[in-house]
Amino acid sequence: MTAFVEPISGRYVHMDLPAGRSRIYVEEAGDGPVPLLCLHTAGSDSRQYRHLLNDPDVTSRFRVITFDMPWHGRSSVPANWRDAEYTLTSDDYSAMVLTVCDVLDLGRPVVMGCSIGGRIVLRLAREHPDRFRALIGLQSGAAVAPYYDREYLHRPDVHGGELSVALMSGLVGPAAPAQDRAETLWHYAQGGPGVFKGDLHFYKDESLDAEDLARIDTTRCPLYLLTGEYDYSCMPEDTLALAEIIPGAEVVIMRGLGHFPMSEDHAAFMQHLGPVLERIQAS
Amino acid sequence: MTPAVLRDLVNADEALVRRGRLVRGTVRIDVGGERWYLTIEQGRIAEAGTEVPGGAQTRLSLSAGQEEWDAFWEAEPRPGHHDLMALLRRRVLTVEGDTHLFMSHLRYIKDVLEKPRSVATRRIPS
Repeated sequence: MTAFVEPISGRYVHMDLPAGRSRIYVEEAGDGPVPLLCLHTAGSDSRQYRHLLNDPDVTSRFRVITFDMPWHGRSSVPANWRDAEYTLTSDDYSAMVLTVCDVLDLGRPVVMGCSIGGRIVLRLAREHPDRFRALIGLQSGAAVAPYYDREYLHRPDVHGGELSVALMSGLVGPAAPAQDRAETLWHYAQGGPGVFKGDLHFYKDESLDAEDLARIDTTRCPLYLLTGEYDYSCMPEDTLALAEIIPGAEVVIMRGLGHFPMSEDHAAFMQHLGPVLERIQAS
Repeated sequence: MTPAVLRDLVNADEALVRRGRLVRGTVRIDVGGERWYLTIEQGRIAEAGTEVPGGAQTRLSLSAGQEEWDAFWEAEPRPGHHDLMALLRRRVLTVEGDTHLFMSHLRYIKDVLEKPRSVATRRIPS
């Protein structure tokens, strides 16, 4: 049997974030001239981008970088995690992305985020358009009305990992390869207590104002919004509503895909992301 | 679909029964105007029918219109019709009673109610 070593390298980077000094796990691959920073979904981690990091068609043109947010994946937690209630805020999330760009000296990167990451790119587009070559929102919406009680995600008598998987299982497109479906859900099963719930504070309690969204200037920073049709968290109509508000935002509804396009079905995802990356590269 | 067919489909799936081994009690499914009572014992459906089981109280009820269940039980349901949480998001499903049972065993309950898809007729692509 022949071993295969993936071309991904990982390292820990210590940086100052709003919550304090943090040890952040960063992975990257590729030597393309354009940095492409990728943001994972709520309650998961950077493994969601494993296929993109392994795709030579992408890494030959882009330097693909992703990181685990504090409390997620291999990044560290505060010493008081047992007693602290983790809550992600828009301010902290935005500052985190900007800090990672600065610390890694990414210059003017492309940032692509999914779900909560797809939400924060809207704020980045509004407040920092000149810092980015382009922004890509996967499963981007302005708001999500609550449709279940989030308190169940973090209580000792309910298994948070099992519940997270149950909640997410229908968000994977039905045609996703079995291994990628399993991997995508396993990331959720491995999340720490209360982390998914804490991320959802940002996603569900801090919606974006329509007037603010209308001020996004896509002539300064192109904005692409790609959404899978089987997503019932951020539904296609939510993304289409964004495009109605944001002049120049380009929308792609991805047939057959769900909430985790980069993790659940890379080949199908690239049919939609590929042309977007080509346009960004050519710009 | 009938309660008895659903019972047989669930009980034939040993892995599903094992995952539901801590579930017990009567769950009512309102399919439009029809009420299905599923009495679950350690993940296995012991009784299934449209009559209220003797002596049993309903722990949990899930209610949606006939057309919603029909769409949910298609072999390859359309987006928005493919998952119980999607029905909740679209506000066409009502969950009442012991919501702790529902949330703590969500995957089991979802899998039980998706079982009819395995015997649904697949649509031939046009």
